[in-house]
Amino acid sequence: MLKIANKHFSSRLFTGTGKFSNSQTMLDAIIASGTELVTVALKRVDLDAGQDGILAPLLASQQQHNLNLLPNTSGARTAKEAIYAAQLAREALGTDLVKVEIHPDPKYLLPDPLETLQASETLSAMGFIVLPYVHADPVLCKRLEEVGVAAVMPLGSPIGSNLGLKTREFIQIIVEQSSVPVIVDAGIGSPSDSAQAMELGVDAVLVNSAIAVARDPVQMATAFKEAVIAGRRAFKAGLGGRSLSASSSSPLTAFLDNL
Amino acid sequence: MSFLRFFNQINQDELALSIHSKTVLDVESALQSNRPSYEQFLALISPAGEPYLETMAQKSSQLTRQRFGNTVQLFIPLYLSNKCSNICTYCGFSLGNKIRRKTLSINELDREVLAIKKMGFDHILLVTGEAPGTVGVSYIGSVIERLRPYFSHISIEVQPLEQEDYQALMDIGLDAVLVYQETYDRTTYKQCHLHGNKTDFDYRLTTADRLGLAGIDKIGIGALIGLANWRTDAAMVAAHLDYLEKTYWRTRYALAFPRLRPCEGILRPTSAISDRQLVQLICACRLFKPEVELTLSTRESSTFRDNVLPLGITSMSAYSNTHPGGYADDIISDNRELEQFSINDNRRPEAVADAIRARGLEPVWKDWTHCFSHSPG
Amino acid sequence: MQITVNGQPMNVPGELCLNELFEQLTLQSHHSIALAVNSQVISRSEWTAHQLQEGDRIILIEAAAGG
Repeated sequence: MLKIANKHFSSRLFTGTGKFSNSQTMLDAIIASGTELVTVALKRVDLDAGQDGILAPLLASQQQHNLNLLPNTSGARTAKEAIYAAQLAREALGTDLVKVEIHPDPKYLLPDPLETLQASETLSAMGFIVLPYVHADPVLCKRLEEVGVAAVMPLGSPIGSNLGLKTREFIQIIVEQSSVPVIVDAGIGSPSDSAQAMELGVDAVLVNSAIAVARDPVQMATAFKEAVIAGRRAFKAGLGGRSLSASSSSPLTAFLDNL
Repeated sequence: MSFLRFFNQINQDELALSIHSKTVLDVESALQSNRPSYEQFLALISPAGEPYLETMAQKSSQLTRQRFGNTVQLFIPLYLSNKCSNICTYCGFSLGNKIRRKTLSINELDREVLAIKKMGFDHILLVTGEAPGTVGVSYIGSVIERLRPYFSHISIEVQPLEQEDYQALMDIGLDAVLVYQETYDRTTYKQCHLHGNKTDFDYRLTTADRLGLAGIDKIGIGALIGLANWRTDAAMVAAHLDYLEKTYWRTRYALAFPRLRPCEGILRPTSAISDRQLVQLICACRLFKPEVELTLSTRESSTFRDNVLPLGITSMSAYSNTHPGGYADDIISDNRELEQFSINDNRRPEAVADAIRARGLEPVWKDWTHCFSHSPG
Repeated sequence: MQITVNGQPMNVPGELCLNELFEQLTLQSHHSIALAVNSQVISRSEWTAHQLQEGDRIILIEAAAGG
């Protein structure tokens, strides 16, 4: 079972709440995915237009479906803003969990490593359970571990790009080196992408766009659920290699026969 | 937080069972993996792995060349003192042994350094027994200070020290520390270490943590093969290495494979590992950790060393003399009285270098010089 | 006295605590909301005790859909 800080998760699929067409589809897809952790963003209450109702059904049935909320700091461009956002999120949602997401670049929304490290250090010291969204940078992930993050969330490819695991080799290194759970975030475009990530040994994947913008989000959520389970099972079972050429002679070890 | 917490969670009986239950399928899966997992490493050192030795050797050799190039680092151990306040059943320096004790004075060092430099060495390993009163931190510090101008890489194999001591020695010019647990089996450890500070298993086990916290450049760990079940000890070394790599990820690591050798005070040790199995172990370590330094000492015969060299070894000692003062006096092993253990490969450094070249590899005497970390001598 | 709420200027009586201000805003939902005064997050339990000052900048945030 996956454990992040003191929380246990039986599902290794985390989902987002963005880009859904309506709140019922969102809720149905989230339930179909079997997820126990959903990300939410924060925004200013619009005093004229009223509140955003799309999350209301989800928030209302959060307990019933065993859903934890993972607020993100999306919109923050600096560590200072992210720390502020995290404090607001803790107050609004009553959770210590926070996904530190700092992207000053509006085009590709790529995470700023320096601000992320700084914010993660401060927030960890303040008692937050910090899950930083980062590029698939193994050294950065080790540095984040040292400042006390509960997990790392390297990207597969840019947010919303659906390009899949472009960072595959680096994710592999992160998995090998990490002492905290590794969650692939961003870029996972299809169930097969998520299965591949799980086969590498990552602890969980976070999927949003690929479910939300599918023609049938509920069916797609189910497909992701099954793919993540299959990928995890394959990892545990141990994948076979592609070829093994046996060598008939023993040029390197024949000397042992004469010792 | 230290390795002790992980260590205490490992059931070594279950670990041994797990190793012995590995099948040929497990071994084949491990051989096909680019980065074998810990479980796959267990398969590689298992009895089921033995028939795959040549495949392992091929892969190990290829990985070693890919990572280290066609080179082998040479170093020489300098035995500073055979004084020791421990009683260890397998060691010639043991307190109970009636041998003449000798500790090199700082002035006597110069003669040894001269002899060693004449042979061409630039990497040196300082070795002492564990006699904190005589060869404590201040003595080791003075030696390092004295040797720094002559050697570009200085490592030590002495009693475990405190983190602050390591930091102080690093400031003077210490590059690497070798500290072998001897065996990870508490019961065997207790039976072999009868007296002295070394009886403290936990303090020794956590030495690498203190080194990691001190931020040392390189740590060498290992088990003395022949004390306990070699497979279980190797699995524990691998677990220790895995933990260290993850925790102190800025540090480099080295593994050594010392086999028990005859020495003063003990009878011929029953060799618990065959040559074939030692090759299996070396190759398995290479497959598991392509970047780790693997060392083979002069405890092994010249034939064995020359043949194992291309399979995964990246550093070796040459012309070791475990007799303090032995290099200047050019005492070769016929005077066994002061020795820690007897040497099996007595060739002079140039002969070892020639043997390395004969295998298509380049012997490296000097690897690199410090430019940033501490001022070169 | 003059304050701003989420950037909008607002005229409120001189003696007003955060809780009273919040009641005046007539939001559809009172859940999943956080409030900050001059970039200091004020937890809900302190709203009654927190008196507003002239020129205070109030930020009111809520959870929103996002990934």
